[in-house]
Amino acid sequence: MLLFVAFGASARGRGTELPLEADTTIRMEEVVVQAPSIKQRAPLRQSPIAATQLLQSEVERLQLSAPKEVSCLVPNLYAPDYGSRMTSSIYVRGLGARIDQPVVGLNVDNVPMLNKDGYDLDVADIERLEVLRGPQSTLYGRNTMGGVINIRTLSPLTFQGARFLAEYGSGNSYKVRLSSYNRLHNLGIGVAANLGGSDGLFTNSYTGEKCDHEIGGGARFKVEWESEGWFIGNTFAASFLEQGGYPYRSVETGDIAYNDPCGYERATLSDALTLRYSGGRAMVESITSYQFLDDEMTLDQDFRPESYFTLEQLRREHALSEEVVVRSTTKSRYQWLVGAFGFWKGGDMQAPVLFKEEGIHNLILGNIPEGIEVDFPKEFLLDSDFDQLTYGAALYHESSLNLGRWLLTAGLRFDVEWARLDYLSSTHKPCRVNATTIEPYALNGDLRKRFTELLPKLSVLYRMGSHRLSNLYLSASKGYKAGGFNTQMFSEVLQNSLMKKMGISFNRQFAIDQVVGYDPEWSWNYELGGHLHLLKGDLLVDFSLFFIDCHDQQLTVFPPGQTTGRMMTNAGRTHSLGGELTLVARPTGQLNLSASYGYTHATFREYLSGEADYSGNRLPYAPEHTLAARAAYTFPIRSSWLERIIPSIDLRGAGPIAWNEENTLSQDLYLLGNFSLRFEHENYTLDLWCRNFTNTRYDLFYFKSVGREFMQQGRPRTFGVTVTANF
Amino acid sequence: MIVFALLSGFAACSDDENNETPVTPAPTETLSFTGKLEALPDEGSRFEAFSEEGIAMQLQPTADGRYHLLMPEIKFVAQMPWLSIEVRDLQDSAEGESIRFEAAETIPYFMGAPYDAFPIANLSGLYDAATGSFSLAFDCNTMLVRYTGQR
Repeated sequence: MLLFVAFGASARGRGTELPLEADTTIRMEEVVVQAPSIKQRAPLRQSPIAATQLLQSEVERLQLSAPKEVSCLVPNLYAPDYGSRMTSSIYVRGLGARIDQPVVGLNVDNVPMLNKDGYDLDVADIERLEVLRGPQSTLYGRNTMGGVINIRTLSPLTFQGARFLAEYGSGNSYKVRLSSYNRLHNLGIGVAANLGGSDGLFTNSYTGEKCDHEIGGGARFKVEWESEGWFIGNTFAASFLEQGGYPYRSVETGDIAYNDPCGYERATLSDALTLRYSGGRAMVESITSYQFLDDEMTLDQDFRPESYFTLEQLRREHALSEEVVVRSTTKSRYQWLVGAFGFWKGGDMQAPVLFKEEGIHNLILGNIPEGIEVDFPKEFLLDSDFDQLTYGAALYHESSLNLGRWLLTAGLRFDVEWARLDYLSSTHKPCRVNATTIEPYALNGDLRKRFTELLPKLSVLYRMGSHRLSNLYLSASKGYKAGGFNTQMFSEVLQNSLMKKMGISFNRQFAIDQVVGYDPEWSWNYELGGHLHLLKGDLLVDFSLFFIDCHDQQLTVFPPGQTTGRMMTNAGRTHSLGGELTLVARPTGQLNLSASYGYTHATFREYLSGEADYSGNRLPYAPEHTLAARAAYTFPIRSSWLERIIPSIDLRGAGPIAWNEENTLSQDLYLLGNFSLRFEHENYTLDLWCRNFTNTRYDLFYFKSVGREFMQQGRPRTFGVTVTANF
Repeated sequence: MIVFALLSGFAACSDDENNETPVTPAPTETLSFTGKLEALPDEGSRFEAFSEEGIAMQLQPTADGRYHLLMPEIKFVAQMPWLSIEVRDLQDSAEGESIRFEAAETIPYFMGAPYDAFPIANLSGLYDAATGSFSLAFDCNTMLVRYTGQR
């Protein structure tokens, strides 16, 4: 059945007949019956894309439930878990971002997540997880310069039953998941709910308590109906999260020790309506979504036991998106796709910064030249209120032409976006400098930007072998990361404004829009790759070689001649050169082997920070190597209560990782070993697992704050047990 | 006849007074300049020379006919932040609309109070009303500071 379906799906996708020898057995990779995304004409391994696809069984055996968890499993994709769940810094092929706009898009059930602060979420019942590497901007638009992660969840039209999961592990961590999928004639209804938490693994020595505790949960309600070419589906999802987070240890003391509270809370709601009609000649799909995010971040910004300053960020955001795609479904050699996309995202944010006694003394009064008398209150609040509005539209087209073994593809997207920021920053207490009293004041205004992008792509694919299951491809594509306003830079704005009121300036050339605003970053990706189907399907090999030329990189720099007062700028240019290799082998029916390796040599070609020239240096935070290897052996148990025992071991690693633009600090290549012993029955499983069984010590993140260095350590060895049941 | 001669003399004096070039009073509004600031180290100074374009200066008249020199962003050594400094009560010694001032030693003001850390010596300034140019020079903290600006 699977074999037939696979052939059927492939044949529909290509519009050509697939020759098959009657006495040849060909093992196909597992495919799902549910249709792929409308933007994907053929299976990924038949397309000119470097992609990793994990189907439900693999997702469950690897215990994946969040996008970050594919880090290193996917070659050249690194998604370190640091800070809080608000932080989703994903690096692909050397491209990445810690601030504002991401380089990797995330779609859940075809709905684009419009705020990367919501990327780190637990998704129940993943049916398929795909990572497409390289720019996907022609079809997916903004912020997909590095790639796209697509997650599809179970559909009640294709799966019916109840599912249960319970997990318990180190740090008093737990997960519970319950879902039910039912179908009545053409109507399917699916409900899923999950709850999880942990006491944490890292201790704040100042308070004596674990700082990275968390509790969170979510629910999803899916209704789908299909009949005679029509499909209507609606998915409503909600989630909540409350966590401590930020287990940053001082490099100097080796301790996590800070006195003011840190934490992150988040609530999200989303609703997506999909309408699809499949006619004889074309398929039309409309996806309308509404997304709501309400979060609150609290930080002891100095991360030390002294009282320097704290930051809060409270945000509420609404977003709407609409996408209409029309794709040809005839069997002709020429196939086409056209689409239109629009979005609107608006919200307000408050970001008060409270300077405390030692912060006032060292950060404000410490900058006052000698001989000046200053009288400051013991605590000083710099308050900021922002209203943000971003909206845009796009039109795109893709054509493909099948000429025997050749597949030629070309696409173009026109994207236009507007961004607006209204700001109101204010002080609330007077201060005195010499004989002058500076009364509380406000700084307000609005900033606007508009961006337009043309995003082309071209590819050539050649199918090889008698069954045309192997292929080689060449592609060139452009991607971009949106511009906008970095509200975190308003701390520079306010500090400069206050000092100026006090008669002191560190930055003469100070224009707020230049400090806070930034333009899009864009890149060209050139790639040679292939998908090989060898040994009658017992060995699958995917490889790619790439070169990325990235322009107008969004950076924070010091203005020329200044040593204080950072500003946003598009001042960088980088090159990434590398390759990727993925192997999946099944030498026997019981032994499964897989391995993936990614190499990226990513360097600055141009980067003048205002302090130094970093041209030629490695990009920080992006690893040079990523690797993963897994072996699983299935012992069949012919029993009514147990069908298989599957021990598996997997290794994952990354590095070296430069921590700064100077390349003076780095994390060496590290490897983590995970072990699992799984007992499987058709209706239930029991999994005993150990992660990082060598207890390897490694760091995930480095930064400087107020002249001190901090790191976040990766998770130590953890144990646990997971039980699942399907009814 | 003598009376006529005397009266003619008076008339001549009056005519002479009427024929003299009228005296133009000094400016009564604040004059603003933009120009270049340079600072050169004295021999033995531990500081380096620097210069900066686009520096603003102002001459603000007072009620008693003197001037305040306002320097909203100035520094005397490269490592300093830019400070808002005033030199107060400068006596104008020029005639007409031009302004000339000098001070052998003076303590500038910062945020309304004397700023003893940077005493100013050998201050001289000239605003040429005909050309709109303003030049300034003074010594401060082993640096010779010069400014040339235009209205």
